[in-house]
Amino acid sequence: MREPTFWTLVSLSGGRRHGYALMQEVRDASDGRVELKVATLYAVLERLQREGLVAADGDEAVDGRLRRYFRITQLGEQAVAAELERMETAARLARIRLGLRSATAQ
Amino acid sequence: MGETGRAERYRRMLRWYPADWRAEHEAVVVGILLDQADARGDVRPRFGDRLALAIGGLRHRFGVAEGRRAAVMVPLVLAVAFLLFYVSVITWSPGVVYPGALGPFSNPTVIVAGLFVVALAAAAIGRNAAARWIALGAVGTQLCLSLVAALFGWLGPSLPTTVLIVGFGVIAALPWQTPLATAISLSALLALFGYMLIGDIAAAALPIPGADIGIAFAQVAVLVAVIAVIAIAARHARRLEPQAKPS
Repeated sequence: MREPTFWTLVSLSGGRRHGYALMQEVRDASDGRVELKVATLYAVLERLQREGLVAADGDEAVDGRLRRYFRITQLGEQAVAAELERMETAARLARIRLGLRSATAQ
Repeated sequence: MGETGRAERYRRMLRWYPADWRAEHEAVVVGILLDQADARGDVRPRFGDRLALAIGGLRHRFGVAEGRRAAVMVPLVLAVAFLLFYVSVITWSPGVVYPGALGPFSNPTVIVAGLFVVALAAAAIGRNAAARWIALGAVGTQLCLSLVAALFGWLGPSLPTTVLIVGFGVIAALPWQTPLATAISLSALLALFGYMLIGDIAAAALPIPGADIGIAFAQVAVLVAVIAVIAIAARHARRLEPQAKPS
């Protein structure tokens, strides 16, 4: 899973969001490392909708601007959980490997 | 500049996207762009955003976002496999001088083979809309070649070859939604090709009076069916544009 996808799903795990709020949430959640452009955000959201990980959750007009809300689906939550599991396993294995290497070097 | 004028400026940035996509998403995306511009204090769109939206729109038009589709890939793989065999074994005739010969090939089907290879490459990298348009172009080219070959007595492509290539191209250009439908249509096409090929061989090997006329009638019927399929394909050509998904 690519980082924009991961952080988009993580951000939506906190509740439904509209496009711009989601961009801010992704930037904050990733500690400023991932700054989505509008085109990227929308491409990610369209793909996640096609894959059933995210769903549209209604449109609202605010100050004459149309805002479309998105929410994570159960499948999306499972995908985030699986990705976290994969990342944790990778980190654990890497730590073991690094620990062995430093022990061998001594 | 008023809010309407600003919105119009941002709206113009989305002109790279297909019309059906804009109809569905334009108002929402312009809203996000304006929210972002307010937060940044921008008075006009930034170059980076313009560029990203231009690339995003073109990616949409050419189907990059779709990913690989077996319903497009499989007929293209079969078409390329058959055409490589046909071009390298059947038409490879260095030194032959005959109307319609193209370089070392006895007929120009190698052009169609090239188009199918490009279509397959496009499908392999997920550019399905581009792959489907190229496949349709290859179908048209093959039909033209077949017609000219019949009119001027070239050394092929023969009718069975054209039916097979056109069939693969149409199935790739207008892919089925289910694997079963794809499998059935490909099987039917291969069976048809086999029937026509055996008919041609039988007519040549067994000169039974009247048999060749019967086979010719059957082959014309098949050709009419292929043309009907092409007409239906042309009617539904707008489906080649990637469809906007409901949000």
